[in-house]
Amino acid sequence: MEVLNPSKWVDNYADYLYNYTIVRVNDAVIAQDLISETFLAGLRSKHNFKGEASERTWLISILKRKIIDYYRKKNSNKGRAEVLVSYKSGDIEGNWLEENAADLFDRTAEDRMENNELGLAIIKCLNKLPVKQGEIFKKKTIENQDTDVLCKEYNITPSNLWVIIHRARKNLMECLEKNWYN
Amino acid sequence: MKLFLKCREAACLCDKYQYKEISISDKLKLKLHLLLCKLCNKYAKKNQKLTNTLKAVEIKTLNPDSKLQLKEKLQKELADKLNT
Repeated sequence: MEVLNPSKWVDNYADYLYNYTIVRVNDAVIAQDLISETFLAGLRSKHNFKGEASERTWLISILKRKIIDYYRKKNSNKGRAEVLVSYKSGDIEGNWLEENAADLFDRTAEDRMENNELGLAIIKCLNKLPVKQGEIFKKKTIENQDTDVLCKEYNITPSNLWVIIHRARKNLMECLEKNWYN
Repeated sequence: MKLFLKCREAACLCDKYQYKEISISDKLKLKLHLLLCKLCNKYAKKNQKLTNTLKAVEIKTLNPDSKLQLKEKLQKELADKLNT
């Protein structure tokens, strides 16, 4: 059975939740707020965790509700006016919102969501790497930090660094092969 | 200067190539090795695929400061909970 370990939440899930949120709200600051609220709400309702789902799934279910609440609030502030916008110009009459609402089968939105899911799969795999290996790989590959800078920070030689990168890449390939491409 | 690489060396150069941190002479040696070695060739292809995937998905990481802030908030909340 799963148990909760809140002191590790930020290290283990902050990036995952952040990537989940950012495509849904499209704003870095709001995304951070929502994640912070999610963690706090998680702490407060710790006793509701039954250990059936994984810690991550449980946090995501809280986050989903936070995202919905966010949109509700946003809509109740200014949305009503928007929903009722109808127009009349000459002979044409209609409902602005209905006609301009996003196409459900919008290809780019779909692609973006699929990309986002792949991104989340990658973060899951990154979290499985040994801590230092994962950290160094993320800094080198995602944050594009310089080899020299990283070597200094971790007090390792460049060839050490490349060995670590090599192991991380192999682990990632394997993990993605198992969890995504199949 | 030797022309032929061991597979272990080729793998390392192949990684450096992904980050564009490879010299021209090493690049030539790598290409030569990949022509001759099926196994390394396979690794090189997978390696390139991983790079492409990572680029395509644009993973974002929360910056360290924000993470620290989040941690402090959580710690505080945890401490408060213990005290009540």
